[in-house]
Amino acid sequence: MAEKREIQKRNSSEVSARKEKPVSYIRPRTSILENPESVVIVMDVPGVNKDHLDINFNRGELTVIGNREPWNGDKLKPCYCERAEGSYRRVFTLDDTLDPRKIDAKLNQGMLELVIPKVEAAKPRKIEIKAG
Amino acid sequence: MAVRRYDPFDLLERMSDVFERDLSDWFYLPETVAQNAWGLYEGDWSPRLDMFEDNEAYFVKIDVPGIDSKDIDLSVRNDVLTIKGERKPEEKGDASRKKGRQYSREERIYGSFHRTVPLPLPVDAEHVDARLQDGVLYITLPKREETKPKKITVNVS
Repeated sequence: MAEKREIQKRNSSEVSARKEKPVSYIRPRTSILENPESVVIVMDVPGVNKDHLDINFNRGELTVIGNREPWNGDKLKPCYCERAEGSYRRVFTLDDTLDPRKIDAKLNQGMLELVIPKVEAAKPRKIEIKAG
Repeated sequence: MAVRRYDPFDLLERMSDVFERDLSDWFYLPETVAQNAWGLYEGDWSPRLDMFEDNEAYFVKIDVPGIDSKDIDLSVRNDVLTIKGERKPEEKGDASRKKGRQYSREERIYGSFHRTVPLPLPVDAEHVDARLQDGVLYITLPKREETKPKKITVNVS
């Protein structure tokens, strides 16, 4: 019973924490390309610079978070607002054929390019036929 | 090259883009402009923009990821800002990137865009400043002297 109450308490505190600070993420538009050597993920993250980009690999999941400048940091009077507010976030699940230790990331003109090489065993191999 | 789209929500997202921008025009633009709102957009897509103002200027931010400054054409005439350009697919731009790659997912939008943005008041077109950084175009449009708010002191006689 005490355990249950503890769980309820924890849940309610999580709920209230969520209420206090709503987190909204933008799902960036993404292209995924593949060639025999690697898989390439290209994302549109306009407004993100190198210092505000966080790329993590944990338990088979590649998480990309990009923080933009505050929507209206200077507290000016808004006229039009179409750009979404918040940070970019997207999670990719990588399988065993990709090598997460050798991910190469490049950021250029608001486009993030991640090159994930395939493991040797997953690359296509030509099998030679020996003359018998 | 075969492009396979399999995100069932992608179309909805695009519809919502179009819906939002047209709806916001109908509701927030001056009446004369709203009547012509359908004519304000041409091209394959339309970049999203924010506009802010203070007493001195208007500040515009436009998301244009992956677009070179030479592919953007910006002009200001009185109280209208026009931005047009084109986002080129990477395959055309750089041959080395193309090598042996196949798309398995494609959500990004390419093609030309042409947007006409009505400004609340005429601006000083001679001193407009634009800079492109991290895929965002920042434009500063200084207000004209005669349109700036002035404080008038009332003298009691």
